[in-house]
Amino acid sequence: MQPATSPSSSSFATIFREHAPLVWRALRRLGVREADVEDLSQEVFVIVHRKLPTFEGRSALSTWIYGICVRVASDHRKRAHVRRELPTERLPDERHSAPQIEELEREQARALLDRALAVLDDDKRAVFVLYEIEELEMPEVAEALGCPLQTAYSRLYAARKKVTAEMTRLVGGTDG
Amino acid sequence: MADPPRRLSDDPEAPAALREAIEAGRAELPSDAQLDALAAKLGPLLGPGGGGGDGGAGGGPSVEPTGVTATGSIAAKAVGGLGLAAVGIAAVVIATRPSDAPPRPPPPPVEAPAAAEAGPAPSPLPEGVDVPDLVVEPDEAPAGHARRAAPRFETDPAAELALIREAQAALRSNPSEALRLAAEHARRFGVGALGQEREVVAIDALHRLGRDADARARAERFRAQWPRSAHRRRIDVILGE
Repeated sequence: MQPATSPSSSSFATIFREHAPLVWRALRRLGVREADVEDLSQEVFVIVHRKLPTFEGRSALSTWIYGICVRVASDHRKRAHVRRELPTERLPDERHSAPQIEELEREQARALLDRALAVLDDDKRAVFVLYEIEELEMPEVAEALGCPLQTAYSRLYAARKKVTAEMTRLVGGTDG
Repeated sequence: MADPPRRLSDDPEAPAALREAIEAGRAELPSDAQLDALAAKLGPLLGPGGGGGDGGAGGGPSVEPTGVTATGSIAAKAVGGLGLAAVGIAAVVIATRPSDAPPRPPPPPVEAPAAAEAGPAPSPLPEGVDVPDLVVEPDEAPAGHARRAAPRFETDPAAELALIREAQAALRSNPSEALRLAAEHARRFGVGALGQEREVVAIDALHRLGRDADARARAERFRAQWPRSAHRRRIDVILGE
């Protein structure tokens, strides 16, 4: 177990560099609006910096950071009465570089994914995102969420059922 | 439950649209510019230069979404492109806060820090608001000098973040309040972790109050202090430069 010390800026910068893309992506799939994801990512790393000296290394660092992401996203919605982003079918705006077909298709697929994820409650969504998208192992998911492994499994199976049904409904054209 | 379940993206029985959507979700990563902006927000926590601009923390090819499994392995990795030889101001302040110096309770009157003393006198502000800017954290006292009664700043990142957010939120509706909050940040946190953010708020507020000369002077001091900051672009936009 590491003694509690303040992180040097170099070690923290390394952590930031290696995890910032993951934090960003996880927050987006956890329902944070694109307009808010920068602020929320900042909040995650401020917490990481503050709590890093107490990180005991019992889980992978990335697992620990994912847990912070889940809590920050959840708290954000509660305190700000922010609703999760409910993606529409509109195409992304033209912020992105070239409107390449592949990228547009990915954007549309992501929009579809977010609509399917929107049917989940916070707990199930977190499990689904961490396992299916972030590709953590299930014990890591349980660790990040602070829940028993069996509970994580239950949530995963329930989430899969709902997401699959919703996706089938969406691509079946029955969505208004 | 002994075996890990196959992921949906690898499950041929899962709807193709869902598998594709999951793959697309995995592929969504922030751009270098977005990471630069984030790094700039974290400022001194990341080390000199605020980590932004000029291929800051997020920029560059070394940003990879690779899994990292232990603190030790991270610390052992070479750190490139960030100018991390020196230790960030805020990190030092946080790490070296004297044990006999509890965080100062908010906000008693504080003597102006050195840099603010040296800078141009602030012009009158609405409602008598004082806005020390570009506050520099007190350096170690030179040998042979008695320790000055240097202001001891608060080091609670969450409180600092909340204050900056409050100031940012006030900008549109009440720039005077935003300016007051920026001043409060300077008094309570010095440069802190979000000193650059604070200065951008102050510059924006001054501009909104029609005090362009003050805004530009402050922007100049910002550029001098943080020449590589990613916030420079925002300041240019605010001032229409």
